[in-house]
Amino acid sequence: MSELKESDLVTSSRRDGDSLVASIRGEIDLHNSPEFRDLLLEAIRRTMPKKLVLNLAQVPHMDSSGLAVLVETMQKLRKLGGRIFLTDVQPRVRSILEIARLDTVFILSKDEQEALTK
Amino acid sequence: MERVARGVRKSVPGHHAPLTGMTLSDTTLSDRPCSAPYDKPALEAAVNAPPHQPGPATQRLEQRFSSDPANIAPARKAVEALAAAAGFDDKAIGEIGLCVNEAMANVIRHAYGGRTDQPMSITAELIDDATALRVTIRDWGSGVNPTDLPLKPHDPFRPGGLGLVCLRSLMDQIEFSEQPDGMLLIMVKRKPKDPRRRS
Repeated sequence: MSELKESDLVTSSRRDGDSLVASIRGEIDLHNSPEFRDLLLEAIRRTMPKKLVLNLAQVPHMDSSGLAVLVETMQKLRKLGGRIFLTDVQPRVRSILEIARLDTVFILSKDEQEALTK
Repeated sequence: MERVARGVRKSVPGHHAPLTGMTLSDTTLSDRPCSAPYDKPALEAAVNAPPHQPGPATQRLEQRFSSDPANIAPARKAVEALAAAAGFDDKAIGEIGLCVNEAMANVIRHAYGGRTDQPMSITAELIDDATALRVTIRDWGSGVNPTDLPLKPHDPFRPGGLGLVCLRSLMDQIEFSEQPDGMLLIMVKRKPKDPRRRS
């Protein structure tokens, strides 16, 4: 059963213990970042995971509005005692994370398996 | 730089939304909406450099569209395609694309206050013997120069203002040229002299 609301932005999502794993797809910018925000915040509110693992293998581009969504999601998760992991981060997305100095704030993992075992 | 009257005229003939698509042409820069003085010699040289003429990569891109966020991606991709055709490496293409994205988003959010039906215009062209790409973004919005705003200490947990940080760190030159009825942003990205040295 999909844990995140069906959307073009989410290819799949599942529960793994107290973790929520979601694969995100597409370029995220000011146009669709509000939808991205709604999806993530609703998923947190509904499932309250200890770990949110976002597989970004199919996200070739993300702008600062997408980053703002990730930051807000992380802050909400922290209040619930949870953490957010980003996996399979593509070069362009890694670049903006570095510019924003968020590459050391988010937990970046090579893949979902690594994130789930951390 | 002398500040000019702002908000005098918000509509521009030929700039009525919606998206009118994009054109690639090898025409000269005949209607470049750039008339303000520049205080940086290097930027002035780049801004005034004639478009690259010989060879197949002489295409010039000009797009006019509305300030709808849905137009960011197609505009960005068109500029990226021009940069790719001109031989910029993948890293530079991504940096150019991100800057176009952030600059457009800033116009939509700040110059137009989120309104989605306002005019915007982008040009991109090769300059300096095709060793650099010049991108301009014109708006007819508030005319506020973001570089005049007070600098805030960087806080990773507040990504607001990141767009300007991207422009400053990823482009070789940027200039906000205040216009009588809005703003013209000029960005220049140069090809690395030795791409093998790129990290």
